[in-house]
Amino acid sequence: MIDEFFGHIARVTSINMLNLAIIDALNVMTPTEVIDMTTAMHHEDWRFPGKVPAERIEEFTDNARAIVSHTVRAMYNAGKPAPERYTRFMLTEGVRIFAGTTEPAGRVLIVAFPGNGGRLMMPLPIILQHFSPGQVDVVMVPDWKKANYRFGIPPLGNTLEEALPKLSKHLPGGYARIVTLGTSSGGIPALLAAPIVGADTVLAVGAGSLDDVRWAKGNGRSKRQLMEAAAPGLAGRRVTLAYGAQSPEDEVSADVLTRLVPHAEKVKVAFDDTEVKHVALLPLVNREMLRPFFEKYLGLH
Amino acid sequence: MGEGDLRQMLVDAIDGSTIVGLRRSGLMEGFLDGTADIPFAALEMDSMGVMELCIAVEVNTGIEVVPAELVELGSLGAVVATILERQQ
Repeated sequence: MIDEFFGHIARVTSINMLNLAIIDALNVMTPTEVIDMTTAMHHEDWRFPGKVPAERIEEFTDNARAIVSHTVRAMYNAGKPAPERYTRFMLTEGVRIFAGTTEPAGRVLIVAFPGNGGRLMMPLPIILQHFSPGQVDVVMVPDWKKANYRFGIPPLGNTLEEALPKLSKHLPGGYARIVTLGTSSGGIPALLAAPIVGADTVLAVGAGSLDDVRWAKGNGRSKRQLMEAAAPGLAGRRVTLAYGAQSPEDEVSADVLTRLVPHAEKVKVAFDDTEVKHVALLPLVNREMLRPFFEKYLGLH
Repeated sequence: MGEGDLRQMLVDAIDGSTIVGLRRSGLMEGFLDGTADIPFAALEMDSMGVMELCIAVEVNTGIEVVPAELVELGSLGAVVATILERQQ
C-alpha cells in the first residue's frame, strides 16, 4: 500500500492532485500504514518524488507532510501508545473490512456507512485508532459515486433496497454482535441496514434529511419511503441519532426521524467553548472523547 | 467553460463533497442564475471541503487553484470570476 501510494504521488503534477491522492489513501489506510507512511515522509532526506519544477518541490513536500501529520496527531488523541493493528481485506468490490487478527467469536462487527467524502467525518485511520482490533472489525460501505447513496451502492445494487440485502450476504459471520454506524449521508443507510444485517445497535451522526431534494433524481424509492418501510424493523434495536448543537438542520432531521422511530435517542453534541456543526464527531477527537462516545453509543464495553 | 456552466459545475461538485451548507444556505438558486453570491462562511466548509472544491475545479476546468488561494477568495462568486479570468 505504501509503495503504491508513493508510486501514485510520483505521477501527480499539482497540489490538488497530490491532495486527492492523499485523501483517497487516507480513506483506506490502516493506522499502522499511516504511521509507516508518515515516518517515511518525515525522514530528513525525503522529498516529494513527482516531476514538478524544482522550485515547487519544497511546497509539495511540506503539503504532503502537513496532511498526514494532521491525521497522525488526531490518532494520538485516542490515547494509545502504538497504532492499532488492522488488516484490510476486500469483501466485494468497493466494500472493505478492516479486521483484527482474532476470530469473530465474542467480537463486534461494525458496518459503517460514511458520508460523501467516503469517510466517517475524518480519515479512516483516526476512526480505527479509536477502536480495538481485539474487540471490533469494521466494514466500510462507501458510496463511491458520492451521490448520497441515492443510486444505491454500486456495484452491489443501484438502489439501497437492492444493495443492502446483497451487502448482508457478503458480511462475514460468527460475531457476537453487529452494529451499524453512519455519518452524514450515510446515516439513513445505517438505519435502513440495521434490520437487514441483524444489527442490535445503530448510531447515525448528522444523518441527512429524509426529504433531500437530490433524491428526486435518484433510483428507487425516496429516503422517506424507505425509512417508513424500515422503521418497524428497528423496534427492539438501540438507535441513537447524534447531531451537532449548532446544526439546526441536523436537529430537525433527528426530530423527523424520531417520529418514525419513537424509541430513538437523540444526542446533542455540545461544548461551551466550540460550535459543533454538522461534522459533530470531529470536536470529540481533540477532547479525547471519541472513544468513550463510541463505547457508549455502539455498546462497546 | 462559460459562467453558467462554471456555476453549475461548482454546485455539482459541492453536492458530491463533504460540504453541507450549500443547500442549507438558501442561496443556491440565486447563485446558479447569477443573481446571488455565496460566501464560504455559509457553506460550512472545513479544510477537507476546501481541498475537495479545489480538486473539482482543477479536474473540471484544468485550472489550478490551491487551497490557501481558494480560502482567500472568500466566496463561490469569486471562484467563478477567478476561473473565468484564468481561462482567458
